[in-house]
Formats: sequence, C-alpha cells, structure tokens
Amino acid sequence: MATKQPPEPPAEGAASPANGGLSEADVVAMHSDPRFLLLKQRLYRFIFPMSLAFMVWYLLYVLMSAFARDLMSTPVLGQFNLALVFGVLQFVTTFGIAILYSSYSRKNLDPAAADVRKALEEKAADE
Amino acid sequence: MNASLQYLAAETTAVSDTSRAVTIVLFSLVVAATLYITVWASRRTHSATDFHSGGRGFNATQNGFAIAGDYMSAASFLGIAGMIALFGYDGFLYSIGFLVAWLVALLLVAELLRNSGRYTMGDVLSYRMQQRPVRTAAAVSTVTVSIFYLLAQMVGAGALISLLMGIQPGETYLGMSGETAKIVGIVVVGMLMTIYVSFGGMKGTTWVQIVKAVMLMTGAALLVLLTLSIYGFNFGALMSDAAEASGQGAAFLEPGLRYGVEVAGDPVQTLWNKLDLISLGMALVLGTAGLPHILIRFYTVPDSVTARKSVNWAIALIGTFYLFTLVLGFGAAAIVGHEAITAQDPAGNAAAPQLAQAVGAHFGGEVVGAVLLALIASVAFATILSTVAGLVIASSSSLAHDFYNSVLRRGKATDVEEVRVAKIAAGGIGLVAVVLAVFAQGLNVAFLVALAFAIAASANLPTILLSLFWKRFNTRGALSGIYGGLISAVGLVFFSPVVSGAETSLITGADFSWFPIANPALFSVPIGLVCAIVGTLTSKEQDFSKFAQIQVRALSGAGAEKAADH
Repeated sequence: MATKQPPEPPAEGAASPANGGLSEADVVAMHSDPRFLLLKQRLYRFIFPMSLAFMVWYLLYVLMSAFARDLMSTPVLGQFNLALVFGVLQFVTTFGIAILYSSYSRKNLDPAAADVRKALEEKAADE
Repeated sequence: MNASLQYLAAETTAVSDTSRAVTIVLFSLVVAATLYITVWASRRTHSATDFHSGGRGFNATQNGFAIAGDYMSAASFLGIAGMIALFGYDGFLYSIGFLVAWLVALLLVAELLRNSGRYTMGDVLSYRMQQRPVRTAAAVSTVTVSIFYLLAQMVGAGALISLLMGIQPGETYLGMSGETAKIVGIVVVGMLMTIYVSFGGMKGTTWVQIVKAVMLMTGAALLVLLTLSIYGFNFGALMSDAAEASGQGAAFLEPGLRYGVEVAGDPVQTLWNKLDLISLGMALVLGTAGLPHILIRFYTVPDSVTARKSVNWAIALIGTFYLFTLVLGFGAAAIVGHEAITAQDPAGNAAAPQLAQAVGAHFGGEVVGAVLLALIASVAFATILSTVAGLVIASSSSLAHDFYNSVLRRGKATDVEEVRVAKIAAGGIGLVAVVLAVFAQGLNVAFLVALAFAIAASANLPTILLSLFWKRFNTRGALSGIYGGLISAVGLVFFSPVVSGAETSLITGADFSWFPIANPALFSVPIGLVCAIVGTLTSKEQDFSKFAQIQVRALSGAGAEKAADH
C-alpha cells in the first residue's frame, strides 16, 4: 500500500511514480536490451498499422456519409441500404480488431513483457 | 397495426399519477442503493490509492461495466435514442463515432497509461517533464473538460427530471412547477454526486457505475425485446414503419437529416455543414481516449492485462448498447411518432421513456405502461448520477494530486492531506457545478459535450501519445500542446454560431461569429499537434533517460503501481 512505502519521499516524490524497487540505470539500460526491443517491435508492428487502418476505414465512412449520399442510399437487402450496412460493418470491425489485438497480445506481447519484467526484477534482487 | 399503436401512444403520452408515484419510489430506491454503496465503500477507503483508484482491486468485468457506466451518459442513452427517433440514420452515425473511439483507447492508451501512471492523466504527461508547469497544465485541462461535460450533464439532469416527472408547463406536482422541479433536480444531483465522491471515493463511484451499467443494459434489453416482439422480431418491418411514420420516407434511413445538411442553392453553407460532420466525427473518435474521467478508470485494476480486458468488456457493452439504441430510436419513431415525441421534448430526449410507456400499454394496458415508463425513467436517473460522479472524481483527484500536492506542496503532502484536499475539492466542484447549472438552465448547453470531446482530442490525446512515443518531446512541447489545443478548441467555439449569430445561439442579440462550424476538432486537433511539435523543437531540453524509463515501464509494466493489499 502506497502509504507504507517510502519512509523519505525522493525529490518530487509523489510527483513521479514510485520506482517499484528498480534502479533508474537498470531501467534505462533495458531500453536498448534485445528483450525490450523485441517487445517494442512486436507492439509497434501491431498498434500503428492497425490504428491507421481503422482510422482510414472510419474516415471513409464519415466522408461517404457526407459526400457520397447517392451511393450510400443504394438498397442492399430489403430495407437495408449501403449506409446501414456500412455502419454495422464499423461495429463488426471494431469488435474484430479488439478480438484480434487481444489474441495477438496474449501470444506475442504478454510473454515478451514478462521477460522484460523478470530481467529487471532479477537485476534488482541481485543488487 | 402502426396506426392503432400511434393512437395508443397519443392517448398515454401525459404522465399519469400512477407513473409518477412509481417513478418517485424507484428514484428513491436508486438513491438509497447508491448511498448504501457509498457508506460501504467509505469504510473501505483509507489510503490515497483507495480514494483515487479504488485500491486498484477491480477485476476486468467490474471495470468494464464501470467504464461503460461512466461513458454512457444520459446524453447517449436518451439523446441518441431521441436523435435516431427524430432524424433516423444520423443518430446512428453519432453512436458509431462513440464506439470506434474505443479502439484508440484499447490500442494506444489504456495499457500504457496503466503501467506508467499512478492516479491521474497528469502523472503520465509530467513523467518526463518539469513537474510543476506540466502538472498545472494537466490539471487545468482536466478541470476544464470535466466542468464543461459536468455542466451539460447537470443542466440536462434538471430538464430530464422535470420531464421524467412529466410536469407540463403551468402544472404543479407536489407543489413544484416544472421550473422548480428543474432546480430541485440540479441541486439533488449535485448533492448526491458530491456525497458519492467525498465519502465513497473511487470505490464508491465505481460501484455506482457498475450498478448503473447493469440497470441500463437490462432496462434497454427489455425494452428492445418488447419493441421487436411487436414486429414479430422483423427489424426490416420496424425500419419501414419508422421511415413511414417519420414523414421522411427513405431519407430517414440515410445520412443527412441532422448532420451535413444540404442547403439548396447554398453550396458554401452545404460544404461547411459537411465539414462540420467530419469535424464532429474526428472529435468523437479522438476525444474518448483523452477524457480524464475515462483515463483514470484504467488505474482501478491491478495490471495492464486487466486494463486491456476491461476495455474489451467496455467495447462489448457499449457496442451492444448502441445497437439497442438503434431499435429504441426506430421503435419510438414508429410507435410513438414524430409529433408526440417533439410535443414532449423538442430535442427528442423523452423518446425512450415515451416508447417504454407505449410498449408497456400495448402489452398490459395503462398500468403496465406507467410502470415501464417509471422503470426507464429511473434507469435514466441512475445514468445521470453515475456519469456526474465520474466527472467529479476525475477533477477532484487532479486538483488534489496534480495541483495541490505536486505543484503547491512540491510532492511533500502526505496521503491523508492529499485525500482531504480531494474531498474538499469534490465539494467545491459540486457547488460550482450546481450554481453554474442553475444559471445556465435556460441556455442551450448541449454543445458543451461536443466541446469537451474536442478539447480532449486537441489538448490531451496528442500530448499523451507524444509523451509515450516521441523521444524528443519535452516540457515546452507538452505545455504548448495542452494550452494550444485547449485555447484553439474553446476559442473556435466561442467565435462559432454556437455562441453568437444564429437563432439557436447561446448569446442572442450580438453577432461576433466568424468560424462557420459548430465543432472545432477538424482545426483544433492539428493546431494542438503543431503547437506541441513546434514547442518541442524550439526548446533545447531533452531527457533521453526519462524517455527510456517511461517506455520500458509503459510497455513492460516493470515497476508499475501495484494493487493495494488490505
């Protein structure tokens, strides 16, 4: 519990997150450690392209709602026109990307993050 | 079938005394249950971690419901259902922005924030920077966004309570006219939210939000089932009935009745209207992951994996809920009808309760209609209470942690002092919100929600992302980004037709508007971003060691704040 932690708060103690028992130098060194670089590469490889993709996909939807109304009113199935189908597809892709990200994280990110944490904790225990 | 249902709706539109009595009983039950939760939580709130972050002990499902409860304000329940009922497709367009926004929170913000911060948005923004100026900026932005959002909710709450009690102009109930009921509503909501936050802290607030989310999902699901069953679960039939009853025909099922309206013979205004729609879409998608009351919810779980799972829960709940509102909106359009909806409330906020009444009456006569109306009204009441409580705790935490402790006391305040200041701040914010809301109740303040999203998108999200991902980012960049985004969003709205120069403006009788659209995000987000980049590059300060630390911590969760063990 936070209240029991530092007997003497460091300079600007409450202002910066508690160190969690890790030394600054170890954490900084970890930034260029292959284990961290692997985690970072795996994370960036997913989140940036995927963010770009859903933003473009959403923007396309909004732009078409604003500027391509004739096309959006095309009937697709009974009462369902393209605008409704496109809207429902935004729901589908949102759910889909969330599911995809979760399984990607479980397989690729969580183990890599655990490696980095373990390495740092072992270092802290050694010192 | 359609005609007879509309006849039924017209007959039962006036709120009966049965319904009012049931409504008051249910409102009292909601208040009693939430106060019980608050007392329960206050006995379990000891440390600053308990107060600000609920001890970080919530699991993914609980936090997912709490996020959904925090996010789905009365504006999105009654407002979107009403917008769909009156304008058809465009109400749906609005809810899609609200949902897709959660991908920004999921992919870019939730886990990294949980790992690198402690109690507030300011923790992450100031991690690499000079503490005092950046925390001051974070507190200014947090309080501005929260107060604007709060004010819109409180003014809406007053109107809504008088509406839900069904007090017509010139009529009194329990000695209250519609106007008195509005003020009483605002004061009661203000007192309750202050009590929840001051005594219950984040634990109490979170449980209030969980209860509200369960009530909202159950109430909406019930109403959806009943509505669809009238149409033999044929959604297509419901849609054609809605389109026909709206008097708009096929246009009701297409974009363009509310946003991006095409003005015949005025291509310039038409273009501005369409840019306004795009600007709104941008604010909704980029704003959510910068709303301080949403961000602090990620701190209430033990670790980043739980934060991710709780966002997934929130996405599932919020997505399902917006699909429900589609049925409710079309249902109200088809069954209650345009005239009956606008007669009760021109903005359509009463559409969902009116639908409940009509559907209940269809299945079990007037009494069932009255009970169902009261049920949906109390769900709406719980919705207001939990959202305002979330906003109050976000701003009081930021004032106590970022401003009082880190700026005024330079981080030397004890936990006890910080929590005491947070409680006082909650009372102060409650008082300010009540006074402002009472004065603003005659004004059209619905734009404040969109403005809060625009500020969050322009001032908060860019600085959060640059703090986490840009090596060169520094103090001047963070300050320029926050203040640049904040000032440009507020400034552009000030000079827009929202404030002056149009019939529906805040100020009538003066016209100083030159910015042609109501939503500033299309311009203020790039301005905020450019300010942050230019500010950074014109300052020599750079601290690669701090950047390395925030990245290692944010990505791996090493040294992250642990759950409190009681």
